Amino acid sequence: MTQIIEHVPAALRGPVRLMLAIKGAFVCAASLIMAATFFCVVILRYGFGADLFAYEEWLLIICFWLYFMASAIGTYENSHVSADLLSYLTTDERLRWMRAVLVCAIELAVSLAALYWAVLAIRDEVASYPYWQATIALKIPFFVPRLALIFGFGLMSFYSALRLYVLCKLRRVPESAAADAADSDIADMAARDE
Amino acid sequence: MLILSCLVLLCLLLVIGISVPMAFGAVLILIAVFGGHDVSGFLPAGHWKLNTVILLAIPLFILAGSVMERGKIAAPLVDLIQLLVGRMRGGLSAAAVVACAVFGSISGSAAATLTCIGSIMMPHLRRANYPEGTAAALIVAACPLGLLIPPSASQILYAWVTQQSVLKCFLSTVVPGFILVALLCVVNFLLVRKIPDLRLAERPKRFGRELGVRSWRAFPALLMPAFILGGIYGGVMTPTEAAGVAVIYAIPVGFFIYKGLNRRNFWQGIREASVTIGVVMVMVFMVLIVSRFLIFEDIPGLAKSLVFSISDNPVVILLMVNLVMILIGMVMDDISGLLLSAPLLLPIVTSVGMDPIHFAAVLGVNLGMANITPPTAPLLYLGARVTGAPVNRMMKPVLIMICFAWLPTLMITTFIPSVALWLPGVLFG
Repeated sequence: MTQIIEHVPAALRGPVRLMLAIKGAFVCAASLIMAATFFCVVILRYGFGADLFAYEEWLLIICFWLYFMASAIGTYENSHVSADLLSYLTTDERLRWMRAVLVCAIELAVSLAALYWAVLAIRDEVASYPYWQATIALKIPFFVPRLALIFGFGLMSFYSALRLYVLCKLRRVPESAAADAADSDIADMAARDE
Repeated sequence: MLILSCLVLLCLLLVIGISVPMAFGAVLILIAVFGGHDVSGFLPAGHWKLNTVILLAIPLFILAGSVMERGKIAAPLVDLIQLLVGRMRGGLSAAAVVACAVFGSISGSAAATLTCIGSIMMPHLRRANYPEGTAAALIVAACPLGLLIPPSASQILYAWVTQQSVLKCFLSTVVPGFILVALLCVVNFLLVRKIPDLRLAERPKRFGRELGVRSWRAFPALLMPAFILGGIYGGVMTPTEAAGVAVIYAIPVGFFIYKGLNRRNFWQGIREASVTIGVVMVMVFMVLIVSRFLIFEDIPGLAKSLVFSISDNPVVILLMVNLVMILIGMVMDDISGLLLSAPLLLPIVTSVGMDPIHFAAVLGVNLGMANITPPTAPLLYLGARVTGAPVNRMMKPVLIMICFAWLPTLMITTFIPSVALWLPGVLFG
């Protein structure tokens, strides 16, 4: 089915796909690292009587990046949690399109505001060098996880802008990639069970 | 005035379909513009709040649920339950309810429970001539059992927000979960009793042997709750570590024992779970920032004075608290609803003598119900996709199940404290 990537300007398609692939690889790796770390912590504790020194400090940073990169993919796939009632209540394509444009424009404005706040936060963080906040054991500056805020909200703004562009260009609501993927996945599972 | 404007704006944005994190972001803009707060402190405050290991249990349970879902770990459990209860009238649909409860004890996620059990049970229910809308509604109404039967991601969040024992919070929702299973089964039997052409499963010729075979097949799946819950309650692992171990255990079980996983769907599942993690955790991030401002402005104190100005009767107050939570649940999902209502309502309920662990159960049941209460009913809409049943056909039976199973469970849990407190009392004194 229709995905927004098919409707963005040709020059942008390659970079958008590449960014999605990089983010996809990163979030998969980060998720598995998260699970494997806790598994190792338990094995080390009971198998070897040891502990993984200050693992929380680097793991929480990886996870913070994971949240924001994954959330950016969620914005691209339009899979954030929302009350999608109005789109169920009306079948009028024009009304659905107008609602989608309004929602997208508001989300873009909020993402841009959050991006601005993230820039302010990082600016304050950098300005406080060399007395900036850092983790206790490994002395990792808080600047490192908080940079994810800029990238995360920046990408969310970019994808919201892209969706708004596609909505204005098509003058109808394209079906989301996430819904398509989930539908085909569920269909696969149902077929296997049949 | 500012707070009232925030609430109105939040409701308005959620109703038109703005995503939850962005709706809370818009509230932050309002606070920044009219509240005179330093905006450079907004996001670091969220980072401080989110920077804790215990909250990693939430993404890990999402990940575990996804691996189990694709690993077909639920299928042998469903087979076993079907053998035990599938032969009576309405038994097949009751098996779906019980399967949701059993799967809930290993996944900690309602969405994973719905996707797994729904995709397995729906074809069976269709073949047995169960009405599509009723069958789908029953699975949707039962899947929040994944949040009530421990481990539960939302109870971890509640325990963290209110500084309570995670283990006691887990246990507080067990008895309400069982009551809900019983009531959903009764409602199900009443709904399907007059359907003439229901096909019933036949009793296998060698029942004992079949039971043994199916139990053996389900054994690796049944071992998982033993690992998770045994590890947590035995003091061997924290809930976060148990969730990490569950993910790593589910991978070889899904690949080599149940063979549901292959290289392609494994990576696809991890990616989808990761996106869900991002969606949920950024929502938590935004709600936590707003909730910090509400506490800063002493909104819990204001809410308490408001409630007590209407009545000081504990029964009336608890009914009002439930009503507020139902309304919050109608416009928000369970996680953001919990983060917003727990700090707001806990001072009110404790002032009428309710134990915070008891409130964990009340909140758990209430927000479980919120997941299937329109207009913001993420599980209802996901259920429509999973089962292929249209939302309008599911709506009436879902509302019947809310009225005759969920609401009675909520009232029992609210007004009979021992329902929530008995099990934590037995195990922890």
